Amino acid sequence: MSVPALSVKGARRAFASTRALDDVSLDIATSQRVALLGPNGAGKTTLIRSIAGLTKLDAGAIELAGAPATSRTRRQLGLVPQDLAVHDRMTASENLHFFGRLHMVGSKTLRKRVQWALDWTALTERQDDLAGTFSGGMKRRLNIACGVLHEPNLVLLDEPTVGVDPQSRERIHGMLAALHEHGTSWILTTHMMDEAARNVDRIIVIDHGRIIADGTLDSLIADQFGEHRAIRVTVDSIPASPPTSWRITSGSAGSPGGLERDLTSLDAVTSTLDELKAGGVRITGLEVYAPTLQDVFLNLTGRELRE
Amino acid sequence: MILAIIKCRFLTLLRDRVSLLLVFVLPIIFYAIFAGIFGGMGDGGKIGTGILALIVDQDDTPQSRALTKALKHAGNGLRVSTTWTKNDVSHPWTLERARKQVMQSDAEAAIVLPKGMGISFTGDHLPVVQVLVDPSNPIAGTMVPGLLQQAAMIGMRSDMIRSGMNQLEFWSGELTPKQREAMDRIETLMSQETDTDVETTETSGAASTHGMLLPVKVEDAAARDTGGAARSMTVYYAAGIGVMFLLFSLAGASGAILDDKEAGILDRMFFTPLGIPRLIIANWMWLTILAVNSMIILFLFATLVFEFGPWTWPRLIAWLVLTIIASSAAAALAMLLAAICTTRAQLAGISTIVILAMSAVGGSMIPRFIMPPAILDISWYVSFNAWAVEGYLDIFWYTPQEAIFATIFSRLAPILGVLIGMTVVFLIIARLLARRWEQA
Repeated sequence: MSVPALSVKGARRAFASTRALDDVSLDIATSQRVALLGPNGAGKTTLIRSIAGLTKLDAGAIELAGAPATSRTRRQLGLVPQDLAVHDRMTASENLHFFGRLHMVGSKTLRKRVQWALDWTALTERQDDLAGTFSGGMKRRLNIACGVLHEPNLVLLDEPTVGVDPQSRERIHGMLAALHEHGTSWILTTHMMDEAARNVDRIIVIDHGRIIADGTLDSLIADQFGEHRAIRVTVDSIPASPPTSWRITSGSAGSPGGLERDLTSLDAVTSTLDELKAGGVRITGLEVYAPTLQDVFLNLTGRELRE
Repeated sequence: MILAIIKCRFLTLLRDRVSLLLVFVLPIIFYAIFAGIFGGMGDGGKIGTGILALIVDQDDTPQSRALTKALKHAGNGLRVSTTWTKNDVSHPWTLERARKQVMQSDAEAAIVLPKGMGISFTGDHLPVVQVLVDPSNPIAGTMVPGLLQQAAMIGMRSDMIRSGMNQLEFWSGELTPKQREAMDRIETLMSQETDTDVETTETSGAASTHGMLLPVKVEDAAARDTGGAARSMTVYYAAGIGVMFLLFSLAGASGAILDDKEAGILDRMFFTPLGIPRLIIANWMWLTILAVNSMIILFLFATLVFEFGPWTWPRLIAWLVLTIIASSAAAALAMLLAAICTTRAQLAGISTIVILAMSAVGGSMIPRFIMPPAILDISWYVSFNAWAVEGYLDIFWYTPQEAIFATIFSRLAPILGVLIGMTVVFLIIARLLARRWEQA
């Protein structure tokens, strides 16, 4: 079995009476893409900061590629903070050079890496403009680039797409995909369930400082909802007495409306529709509903407000 | 890594016009205002500390000793010294030594009782007493001649009367034997009453100059060395204002760390191999460079516009050394202030209070030579400004123009030592306080 890129063992951290991390343990394999989900205050940022060495653990251990996390071994980590941590009064190019220098990237390599980063973030044409003049999306891309200049094996991204438009979000996920293609692992925290569902290999849900779910999207859905699915149809005229397994969701008998019934498996879709057709119902629309990551998340963490 | 931070700070400052104005232009404006107002101030004395006058008794006659004795009891804040001590042996003041003391601001005035003074009282011409003063001192130059008149009338009244009679005989003819007999009786009576009168004067503390009966010539002790111009207040305020704005501009510039903290950049820096010590050192070096440049511009302005100087090679090198060391101490203090505070707003408030207080006590706002002794004593313990201002005054006021390196540096050495000590202490405390930046 290969050594995990990151191993967290029994991590604990409390702030006053609040347990931000309560016996958290996890392993991240090489080249794995992981989404770390949780409500605000669940402990995501504390976990990221602990891995990065910015927050000390009260107990527990962190290993990187099998070695204890130290300032030296942490050089294989990249960090993209939630804040737009770039200097507004420096150009994109100057910011990249600055953080590259702090990561001790040599001059020759740094020049190449800066050029790569500018291309990667589509900021080449704006490289000599002050970061303060950038849009939110451009700053986010620059923020990410500053965290990966030193070619880390594992990148920690704390809400890298917060506050950006869909186009920029797509671009950022394109950038992360390109990183992954080169063998880089990453962990991102996000509240965007759809992008987590689409772009990661593994999802970890954390709440009250504890990991409460860990797996692929399918396995999490299966764990929370089993094979539950539903089929929803719209019809031109709702029959006076629909089949007993169907529920009327809108309209009334003789008028256009909607019907719904549960599905035990996707294989049963065809036979279920035949049931309606046999009763002379004309179907005008069809939707097979499956639980989403959002359903899983709300099911795990509850629907009540946290703040 | 350290250079990267210095470059970052440089670029950020370069693109921040307000900060540039604060660092480089505002000190010049304030200096120009103060130098313009006080630049002509050139004769006066210490108010708070009293006046220390050194007696150079070149005559050493009963008359000169009587005058010295009367001066000792003159009151009105006048303190008199007739000797200096080395290896427990007292030596009378010489003209050169006394002049040097006045130039170095170790005494406010030197009173030179010329050779032949005692004999002169019996002749036709009264002696001219020379008074050497520091022209930057607004009181000594006017007060000492007055006190001399008072002392002469009390301590040497019989001589003064005889001198007056001599003048009378010279201009109106010889006295008759009867008149001369009467004058001798008055003279004997006056000389017997002298001691009693001295006691009375000391107790009452009354000042009575009776006009210039004893001719006195007031001279600038430094005139021979600097032509007098070097002790203009333009020199004082270049030091005072320069040092105060050095602190203000550096405290503002040190806030860049707090800006970085608020923006999350500091966290990002700590994630790199940088670490707190290098962060502190890099920022301190940057602030020092900034401060040195700010002082260069200010003194250049003072030299070109207000004829600050005169500059000599030893003075220039001493100035450069002091500027670098004072700048490094100011930079360390600014780092300490930034480390104490958690936000830029907090830094602005705290640094304003601290700097204004240190500047007021240390002599950046009010000339140190008019401060009461208690404030002067306190200033050495609580004010960076006091040391830095005294350092600049040592170079341009208290050492003669022709002074060599050794002379200037022997005087500057304690100040440089204290400033270096401040730098080390401030940086160590800043380092300790900055730990909280590192670990949330």
